[in-house]
Amino acid sequence: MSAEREREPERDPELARTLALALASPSARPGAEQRVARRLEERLFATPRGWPAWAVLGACALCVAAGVLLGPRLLRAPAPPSATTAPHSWLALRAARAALDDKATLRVEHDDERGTELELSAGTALFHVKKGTGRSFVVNAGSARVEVVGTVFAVALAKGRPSVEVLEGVVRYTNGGVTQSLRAGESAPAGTHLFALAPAELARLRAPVNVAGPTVPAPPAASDAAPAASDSPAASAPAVVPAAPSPNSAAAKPRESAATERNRAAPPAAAAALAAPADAYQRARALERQGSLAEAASAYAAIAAAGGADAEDAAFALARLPAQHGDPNAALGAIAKYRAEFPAGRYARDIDVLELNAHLATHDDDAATRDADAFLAHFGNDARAWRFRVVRATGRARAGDCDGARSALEHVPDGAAKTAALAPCLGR
Amino acid sequence: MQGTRSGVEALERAPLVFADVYAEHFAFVYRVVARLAGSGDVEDLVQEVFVVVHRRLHEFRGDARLTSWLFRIAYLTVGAHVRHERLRRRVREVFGREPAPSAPHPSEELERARRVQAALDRLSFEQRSALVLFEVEGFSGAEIAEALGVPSGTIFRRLHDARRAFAAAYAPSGKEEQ
Repeated sequence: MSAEREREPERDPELARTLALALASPSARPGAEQRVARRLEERLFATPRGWPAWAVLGACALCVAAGVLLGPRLLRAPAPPSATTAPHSWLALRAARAALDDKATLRVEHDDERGTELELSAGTALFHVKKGTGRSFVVNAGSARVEVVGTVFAVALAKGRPSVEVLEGVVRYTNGGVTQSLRAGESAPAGTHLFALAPAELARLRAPVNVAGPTVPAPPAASDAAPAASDSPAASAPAVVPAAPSPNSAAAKPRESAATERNRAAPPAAAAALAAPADAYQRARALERQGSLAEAASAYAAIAAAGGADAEDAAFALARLPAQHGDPNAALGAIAKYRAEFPAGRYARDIDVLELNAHLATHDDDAATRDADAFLAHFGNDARAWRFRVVRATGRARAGDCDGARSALEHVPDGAAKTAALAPCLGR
Repeated sequence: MQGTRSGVEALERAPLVFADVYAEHFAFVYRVVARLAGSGDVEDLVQEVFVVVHRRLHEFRGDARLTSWLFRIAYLTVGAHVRHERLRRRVREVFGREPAPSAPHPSEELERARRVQAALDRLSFEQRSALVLFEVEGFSGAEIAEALGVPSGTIFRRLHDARRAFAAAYAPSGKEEQ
């Protein structure tokens, strides 16, 4: 290779102008962001609306062909391992739900702000863990420790031998002093197949999980148990044993202890308790979407004051609403309130962004610079860090520290914000 | 995803990431895609990029800059699209279904753009990307190399080859450019 190819060549402005003639505009057309977002939403989140006729016909033709070609072979094969498992019972936790087989014995070591730790001493359990809650989620099974990165995985302990199968996401699996990451489709020991749910059961497992508490009320004390709520005799049910909480622990509070949902036999009252907070939040969201901002704020305030599963979402909405609608001082008040109530809340970083914007809107540059320094000190790799970098660079540029400003913008893509931040340094 | 909550709300209530990445990096992804694709429906390609981002966001560990990670996804997505389009065009040419090149456009500016596009089409996607990102977008060779996970020397070589190939493809009828 020649030396010419080894070093960074000089740029050729004439060539750049020539090339730009044939390239699409680098600026998105008006509304492009919203159009793409709508299409993404339809593609990623919409429920399928039925198959077109050609797809059905094609699938039928494929089935017939496959039957002719593979039928004799399949008839000789043993039953496939994908036969679904009927869950014997369900367990609802703060940020997870589990389907248990009839042999499962699961002990809840703790399930609180720190995270969740379970001990599986027999049987098989399939877990769906809500992503990104910031809490740890660990299942111990015999000698094995399974630490969840996310999201759907099964753990079994049979004759003292642990095994794990990951359906979605990633888990860290430690056994015999060896730690490995298992991704979707992988299992340990390799080839293990533990738990397959029917689609309806899988949907139930994946149903939204409340992070702030279990999705059904805690079970009554043993002496108060209502047999009518269960169609399984207690003796045959798998044991789900909350660890004995210390009097001061979070697990001592009834609404924060683990609960079981026995084979879809949750009593109507439990179903109502499950639906009510979400409905209130949905109503508040609907009001906001309709533009009834005052009513939406009132609704959010009521939800936040009630302290239920959606309280944190509502508290965040109370900060977001004024921030989005031009009242930064009100936003700052709501931000302070959110932080006081949820010091390690799920929206902590979003709140940082709102605060930065509010300080910028109130022209409190010193506070904005402090916000930027604090955020970048902890979350330099966060997706939103560029906004803070721009603020930091703007402060430095205004103070005449152009090298510092350029350094702060090192990881920020070119664009209007970057140009504006460096404006005081032009010509230096 | 439950039907009781719309996709947008699900996005909003998801703990972090996708909604934020989309909101804050849409313009960056759009710009990269527009430059890499050159023409065609940029919005479709941006959508494809974010589908991949949504699927793989949990794999992002923060080892690299987020923009580098997005850049790489955009590069691979657009690269696959461009190669597919070129193959489709060649197949259509072989079977005589590709429309004949249009007559020179009366507008000098448009005619030059058409010739530049034709010359760029003669380059491989790798060469074309290196040329456009370096010359037009102002990325350094090291930045492109980091984002694509290749040595800087590879980028310089592609750039060198791309300049020569572009000059050869554009020069014969491009005397007015000299």
